[in-house]
Formats: sequence, C-alpha cells, structure tokens
Amino acid sequence: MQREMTGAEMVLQALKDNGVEHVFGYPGGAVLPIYDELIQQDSIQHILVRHEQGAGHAAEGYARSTGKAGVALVTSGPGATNMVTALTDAMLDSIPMVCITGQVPTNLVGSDAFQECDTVGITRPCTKHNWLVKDVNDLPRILHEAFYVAQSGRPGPVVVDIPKDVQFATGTYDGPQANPSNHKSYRPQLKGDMNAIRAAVELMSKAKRPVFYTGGGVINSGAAASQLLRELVDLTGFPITSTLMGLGAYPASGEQWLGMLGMHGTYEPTWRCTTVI
Amino acid sequence: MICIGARFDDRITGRLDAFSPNSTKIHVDIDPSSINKIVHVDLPIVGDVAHVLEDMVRIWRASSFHSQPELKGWQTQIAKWRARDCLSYRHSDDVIMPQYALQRLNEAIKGRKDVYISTEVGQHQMWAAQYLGFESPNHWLTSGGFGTMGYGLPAAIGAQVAHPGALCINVAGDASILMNIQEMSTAVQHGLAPKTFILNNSYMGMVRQWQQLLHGNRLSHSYTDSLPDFVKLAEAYGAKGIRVTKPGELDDAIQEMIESPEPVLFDCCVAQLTNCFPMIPSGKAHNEMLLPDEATDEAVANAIDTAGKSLV
Ligand SMILES: Cc1ncc(C[n+]2csc(CCOP(=O)(O)OP(=O)(O)O)c2C)c(N)n1
Repeated sequence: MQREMTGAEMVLQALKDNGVEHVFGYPGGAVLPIYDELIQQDSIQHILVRHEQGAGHAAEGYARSTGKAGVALVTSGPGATNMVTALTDAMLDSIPMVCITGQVPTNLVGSDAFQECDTVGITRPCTKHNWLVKDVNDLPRILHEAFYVAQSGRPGPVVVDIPKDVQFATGTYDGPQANPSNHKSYRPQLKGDMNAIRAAVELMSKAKRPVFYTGGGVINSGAAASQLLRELVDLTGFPITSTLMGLGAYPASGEQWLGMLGMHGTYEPTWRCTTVI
Repeated sequence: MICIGARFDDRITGRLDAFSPNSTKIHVDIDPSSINKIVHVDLPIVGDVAHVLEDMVRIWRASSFHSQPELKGWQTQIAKWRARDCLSYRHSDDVIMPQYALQRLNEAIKGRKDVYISTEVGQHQMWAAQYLGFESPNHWLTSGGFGTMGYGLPAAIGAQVAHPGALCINVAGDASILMNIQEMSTAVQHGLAPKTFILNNSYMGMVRQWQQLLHGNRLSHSYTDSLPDFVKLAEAYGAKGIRVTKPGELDDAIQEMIESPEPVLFDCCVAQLTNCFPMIPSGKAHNEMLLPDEATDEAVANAIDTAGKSLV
C-alpha cells in the first residue's frame, strides 16, 4: 500500500502500522508538525507528561508491563537531552522503547541552531541503535526498522531523529515488511544449538547440587518463557533464584523458590551459590 | 548453575572469584556478547529463552531424565538454610518499621492479579523486592541496572495507561519521589490513579546506610531538612494525600489508598535509621553477608575493608 504523504503523516501511519496505541510525549518547535497530525486523529492516544524524563520512564513502565515497545515523542535539544537518562535506563535493563525526537531542519544541522544538539551523537552509547533521517523517503523504512530493532533479540531503546523539514516534506509511504526478521543484517538467533541444549539437559540430569539463576531475560522473552521455566523447575525439582529484574518469572509462592539473589538478596541462595560444586 | 537470561552483574555476583567458583555453568542468553563477558561458562547457549526452555523441557521429558538421588540431600540442606529468618527485624508498636509497612501492603494486595508495583531507588526498593511477593512476570517495574531515582512514578503512570483498571503502586522514598514529582500533574490530567507509597525516613536512606558502613557514620548531606508536606503537595496537584505515623493506623489507611479513585501520595512516616539487610558489603563474597541479627553497630562499622571502599 504505497501512498504519498508528509513525513509527519508517515510518523503517525507507521506508529499505527506497528500497533502503537499510546505515546508519551512533550511538544516543542521541532516536533510541531507531528503534534499537528496527532490532534487530527484519535486512534493513538498521547499522554502529555511534565518533563521528558517522565515520558521516557512512563514508556519503560508501559513496555515492562505489556511486553510491547513503549513510545516517546520529544522535541530537539533540551527535549532530547532530557531523555538521555531514561534511554540509558532502558538500555541497561533491556527495555524495548522507540523514542522519536525532532531535530532542526537539515540545512541548519551543525550550525548551533536554536535548540540544536547532536542527538544521534549524544544517544549513540545509550541506545541499541539510532538514526538521523535525512530524506523523507527513508523515513518509513527507518521507523519500521526502529520497532523491529527495539523489540527483537535483546530488547532496548532506539532513537529516530527527524529534522523539521523532513517532517514537512512529501514522500512515498510503504507499510512494514510482512516478515521483519528477514532484515538484511540484524537477525538474532532464536533457536539454540540442539547439541548444546542436549548436553545441557544431560549435565542437569547429573547435577547433585543444582541451582537455576534467572534474570530479566526470562521476562523479556515473553509469557511463554515464564510458563516453560515453571515447567522445567517442576520437572527437575531444582531450586531457583532470580535477580532483581527477573522477579515474578517464577512465583514467590512456588515450592522451589529461594528468594532473590544479589547485594540485598536473601540468605539461602546466595550462600548456596558459593558452595555449589 | 543454570543461568537463564541473566548477565552476572556485579550487584549479583559480589566478589567475582568467590561467586560459585567450582560449579559447572550453563548460560542461556539471546545476546552473544553477554556470554563469557564477566564469568567464564562451561556451556553457552545462544538463543531466545522461551525457545531454549521449550527444547529443554521436551528433551528432559522425551529422554525420561531424572534428577540425581543426591538432590534430596540438597533439598534438606536448603530447608535448613531456609529455617534461618534472614528478613527478620525488630517490630515496634510506636514507630512504623519500613519492613512492616510493606508487609501490611503485601497483605492488602495478596491474591490480586491486577497489581503492578514500581519503585524508585534506595532502601525502599530493596525492601519492596524482599517483602512483596511477585507471582507473575511483567508486574514488577524497577530500575535495576541504572538505579535511576525518579523512575517509579512515571513508570507507574505508564503501567496505568496500559492497564487502566489495575492497581499501580509506586513504592518510593522521600528523596526519590521529588525527582519526578511533577508527573502527579500528568496523572491527574489523564484521569490516571497510580498510588505512591512513600517510606518517608527523611534521609536518603541507602546513602546514609553506606555512610554508616564506609565513612564513620558521618552523614554528609544525606538528610533532607525541608521536605514538603506530602499531603498538601498531593492536594495541590488535585490528588489525595494520606499520612500515617503509627503502625496501628496502617491497615485502614492502605485500604483507603487502594479504594481511592484518584492518584494518592501516601506519606508513611517510618523509623528513620533502619538499615537494609541482608547485605553483601562491596568487595565481599556471598558467604560474608551481613544478616540483620548479626548487624550490630560495630559489625556494620567494620564491614568493609579499604579495598572494598572503592567499589560501588
Ligand atoms: C538520579 C540518582 N541520583 C543519585 C542516586 C544515588 N542514590 C541511590 S539511593 C539514594 C537515596 C534514595 O533516598 P530515598 O529515595 O529517600 O530512599 P531510601 O533509601 O531512604 O529508601 C541516592 C541518592 C541515584 N540512585 N539516582
């Protein structure tokens, strides 16, 4: 379904096509074209925060409690720098988040324009990936790619930086790929090596003092992962502990639950970890 | 040790050379760069946790594997370790102990499936992890890797947007909540009703605890002299404020918070100088953990040696 539209319209269309229902954001000069589109539709609800960091953490809470990517929309310069803490937070906890930032028009980039900052430079170390969009015809592909990268493999935050002239420009919109995992270079491995898995299960069957040490990766892998973890714990009868990030994957009331691991973890599992053969 | 979707973070391992040094380690992770990054593992498996677990369950069943008979002895040993109550604390009838406040909160939300707990960062975060029971995934929202004060209130708002009918509670400290307190206004504007349960000790409690452990109890700039009146602050935002100072008032007040249709700032005034245990002091191994019943002032003052002081 190719259609001609402006960059700002593409942003809204791409959000809808990627299943987005809520956006957390804060307006400013460099994102006004996108805000103008937001108000003219009602399938996406915008939650107006009071500080961009709030938008970032709200998107994280949304993501963490649903398993879907959280979406934030902020303006250039201080809007973008106010997001840096939340992006880094999402990076360290592997939370899927798509952050759209406005940027000064392309002809002013690099001129110390009003509310200009090097958003892709500043956020490079605290995002899984980021893009500065220079041509409106690249925008749809980049937006779809942003959702794919944020949510696949080890999840994380991504930034799409869109100069204001690109938001006004008209180009051709294309929907997301039917199968985004056919990406040309990023294809995280989902299936484990069968020989290694067989060897692991055999090792487990021979273990005398085993312990499961689980983390946030179980939660990020989706509800099925937690269900399968419970099954494996029941089958083996092995005790299980978790990091702070992994709490809830195995129920606290479960028979094999040892309590939390770590600096303020409970006594039993931590002690055991040092003595396990 | 079967490590699944975890990354041997320093907050988990403590002193590395003492972290389960002799175990055979299996590590399942979707991120190849996390494998053998911190700890050498014997059997790495790169893949998605759900995919790998599915194969493990299938193979265990198909090959009719059984656990070793020694597992029984291991379980008995564990039961003995369990018998020691490592989360004990001295209860008081006059002042609210922070742990007690969370136990009462836990009692009030137990059995409900629609509860999402977020936290800020500090002692209250660790107590929440210790005293609230999490039964299912995606219901616990906390800033683990970065430790960002100011995370909890917006995170609770985000969860509330996704689950409008659910009970979203932010367990907070009096210092952390002020970092993004402005988001109360967001909640009110959008008709969202997250509850913030502040364990108010007037200190940056976790900082004070470290100063006691590492710096001769010189409490440099970790006390907040002029905290706002949280009840009035809630009202100023158009939300509800509740203050509790006595243990006996807790249950009714928690119920009032839960039943309130508006966002709430719950000012729970707790014992100010409580420390969070168990704790593995930095630079120490897991078996050198400080337990609540052993943590005398002297033990706390001497818990960390010179090398440990430079760690975080
Ligand atoms: C943004 C930020 N600044 C500083 C810190 C360092 N820090 C960690 S815990 C803490 C004190 C938190 O105090 P409070 O919110 O009152 O919680 P309590 O420990 O008393 O429960 C501080 C300052 C941090 N984690 N995040």
